[in-house]
Amino acid sequence: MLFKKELAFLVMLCFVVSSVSSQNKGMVLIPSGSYKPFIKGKVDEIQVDSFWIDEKSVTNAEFSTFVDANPSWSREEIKRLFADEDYLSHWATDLFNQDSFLVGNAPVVNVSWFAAKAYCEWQGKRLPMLSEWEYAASALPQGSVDSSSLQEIIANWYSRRTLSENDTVPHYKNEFGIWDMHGKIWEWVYDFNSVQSNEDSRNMEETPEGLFCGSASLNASDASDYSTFIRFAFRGSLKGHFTVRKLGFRCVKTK
Amino acid sequence: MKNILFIMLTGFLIAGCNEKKEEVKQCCNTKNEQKVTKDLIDQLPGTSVYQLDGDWTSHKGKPLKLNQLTGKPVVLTMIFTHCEYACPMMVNDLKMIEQEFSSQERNEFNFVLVSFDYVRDKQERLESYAVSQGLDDNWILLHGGESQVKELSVTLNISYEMLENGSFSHTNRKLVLDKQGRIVYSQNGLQTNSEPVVEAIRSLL
Amino acid sequence: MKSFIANFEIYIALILLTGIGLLSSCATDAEKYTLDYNKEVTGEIRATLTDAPLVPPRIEAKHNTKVIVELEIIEKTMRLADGVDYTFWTFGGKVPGKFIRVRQGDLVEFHLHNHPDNMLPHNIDLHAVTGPGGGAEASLIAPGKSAQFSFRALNQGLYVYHCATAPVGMHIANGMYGLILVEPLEGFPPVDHEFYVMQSEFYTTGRFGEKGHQDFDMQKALDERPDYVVMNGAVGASSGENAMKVKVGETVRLYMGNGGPNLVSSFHVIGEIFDKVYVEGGTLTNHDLQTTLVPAGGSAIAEFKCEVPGTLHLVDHSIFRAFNKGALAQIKVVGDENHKVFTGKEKEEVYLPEGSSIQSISSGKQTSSDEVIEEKTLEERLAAGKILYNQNCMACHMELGTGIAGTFPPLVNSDYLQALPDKGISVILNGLQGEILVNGEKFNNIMPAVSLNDDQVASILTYIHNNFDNGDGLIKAAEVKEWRNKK
Repeated sequence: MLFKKELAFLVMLCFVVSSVSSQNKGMVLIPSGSYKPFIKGKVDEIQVDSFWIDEKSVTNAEFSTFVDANPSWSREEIKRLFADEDYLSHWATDLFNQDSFLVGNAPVVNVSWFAAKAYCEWQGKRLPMLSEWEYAASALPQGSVDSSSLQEIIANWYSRRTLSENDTVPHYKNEFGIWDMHGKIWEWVYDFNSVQSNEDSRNMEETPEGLFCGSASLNASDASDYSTFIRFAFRGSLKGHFTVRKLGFRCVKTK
Repeated sequence: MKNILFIMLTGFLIAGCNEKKEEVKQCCNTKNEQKVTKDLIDQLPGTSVYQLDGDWTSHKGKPLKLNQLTGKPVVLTMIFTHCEYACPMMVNDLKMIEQEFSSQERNEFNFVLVSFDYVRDKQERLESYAVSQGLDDNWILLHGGESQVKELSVTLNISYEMLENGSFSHTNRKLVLDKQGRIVYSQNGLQTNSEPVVEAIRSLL
Repeated sequence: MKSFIANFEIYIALILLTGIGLLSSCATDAEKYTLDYNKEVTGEIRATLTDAPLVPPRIEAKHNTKVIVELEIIEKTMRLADGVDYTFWTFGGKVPGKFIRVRQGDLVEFHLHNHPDNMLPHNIDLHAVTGPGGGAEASLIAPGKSAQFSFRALNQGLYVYHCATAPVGMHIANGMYGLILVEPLEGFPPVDHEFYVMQSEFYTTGRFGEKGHQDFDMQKALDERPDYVVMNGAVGASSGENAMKVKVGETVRLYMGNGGPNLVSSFHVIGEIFDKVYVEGGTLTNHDLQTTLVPAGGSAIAEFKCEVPGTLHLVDHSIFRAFNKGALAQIKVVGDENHKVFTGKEKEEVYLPEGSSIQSISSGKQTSSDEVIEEKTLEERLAAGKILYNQNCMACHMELGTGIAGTFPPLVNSDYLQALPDKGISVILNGLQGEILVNGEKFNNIMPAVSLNDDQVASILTYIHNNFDNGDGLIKAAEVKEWRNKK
């Protein structure tokens, strides 16, 4: 047939394309851009290259497929180096067993950095860099005119405590098209240990060169942005094997 | 017609296989190597740092996995050779600790320095650094890729950040690991009291 | 002779030496207890912690000991005022945080727990700690984690503790503060009651009293404009049915703290005087104070004895904070009255200044003006006279002219008045002193001269005569004028 070759080529192309996009199912492409860093450094704006990010944080159901396929990451087999005693402790509770379908769609929490990283790598993805996460989270809720709607969400979260990690319902989508970057759970980032806040958060001075090479201190660009302060302080309190009831994650992928 | 159908079918199969293939790729490459390491790691206690599975290169050019450090206590820290202030002080601190041991005793444990600088501190650079610092054979300097450096720093609770000029801002911490890689003692800061570190090492010899 | 002289010298020398010895021993006065922290402590106890306004009992051990303190951080929504809720971050479940009580020289082993349901990391800085960050560096913990550190209580005093996690002001503003008392090893002298009161502010998005759940307002905190200034963590937390209770005659020691985050307190107890104050919670004492300053992040200890019954109001004397923002607590003192100290109200009377016109004691002639005064009718005189009487005479002679027995003579059917040839003009114009007899009663007082014109005098006298049963006469202004000119 005359068009056989072209047709064959077209058909192959279609399948390749669909297979590529199916690998990024459930992810949103964040365009390159910049954001104002919270920690004052030498630059006013941090550039971030375009990347794919999970639309939602990883759920209990998704994480359980990982654990099933990789038993060394199960509660029974995990080594203490990689996660502490509370790892996936909520999976042993009645709530999870009774409403497993519902709670299956809630964000997975009580996971360590090692476990989150392993999950993302299993998916062919990785944990987001701090700059990628902060950039993606800086977008306002869709349809808002100013940042007050975002402040409202954050206040609902840890002031009024109306939102919780066991919530299966998505709450807000931001202008990038991703859900609930704020308001449900804290999320791991790959380089959470790059923040060099002194554990006593009042030491705001430049640390003397004698202690650090090229010192970086916690100098905030906006001292009244208390919700970001809190997020950075939270990261500063973490260690890689920690599991926390309000801490989960989502994955990203280099474009 | 038949041909088109045949091509479409092939296409379906290939597309369907794509994802699966990758999964297989992840788990099945160098299967034998992985099994050997896995067995060694399984024997380690649950809190051993040597459960980290990265591939390192020593300053003498030897490929190394952390579990190969078992059998001798280790004094471990992280530095980078282009560091002008803190790291020379840290190395000096470790040398002071070394002074407290006889030459016989020094053969029974290792100092391990892992570099943050996966870009510049490759094997040759680490080798010349060891020479310029006058480090004996009980000192091992390690180079590894970005992700294993990150993983180790998280495990050791050492914060660090790469700066624009390629150097690093980092915390200073020295740790004493037992013969199986468990952390028994750690100390923050520089020019600190060497006594407790010396004692911790002695208790493991 | 020689030996005597030699002995004498020896005696002198001995006396001098003794003298020097005595003086040098007197020179070192009773020195303050100096802690030797190389000395080990013996034993260990678990600290008893209490919520305001209660204070734990003092540790009985005669020697320094290890004190184990377990403190849990809980983020919790509670009442800030009637109908107003707020999410507090607490040390131990309430604001202010638990009261910790140790002695100087004790070794404190501190266990800090961050409840897993909390959102945020926290730590603690105790002002009693000599060490980096007051313990804050050693105690930063994520939710679901614990930290332990130990410190020696080197100095006596009443110290604030608070959270020091970024943003520090917000952690404090949300309620993360309390007090730790480091008393001398032998303890403070016993009193009948010890109470714990801590003042602090809250910055809310809504105004004072606005109902519903309120969020923290960072801008107001930066501007130092609180909506609430409260004692013990909420409006009315230690007043009304939650007031502290004491009996007449009992002694009280108040451990008073100020968590801030911003304001300094001018602490005063309405109805009491502080017999003794440990200034700023340290070892310097002052006496007989009405109001003492409690710095933000500071404290004071006040002692007093309750001599009379009643309700004592503890306030910040920057008074709008007390009455409009909630900076008020109460101590109810019950028992018998003590009139030697305070009688309560002894008398209540109407107070009217004496007349609206100028009064003077008569000293001489009064000349009248050359004005021509129009005469009035009886009705007019009576009407005008009534008003003038009420303005000028009623204060003493009373509305119905009854006077006051023994003091001011009556005007009703007054034989004295009726006997006067000038119908009373001289009394008004010159005043009256000395003993007189009115209706059988003696009066000896001073009536001042009243400065009124002829027309007014005529009206008053007409009213007095007619209204008070002294006859029906109509006194004319001309008569008054004539009398004036006569004199």
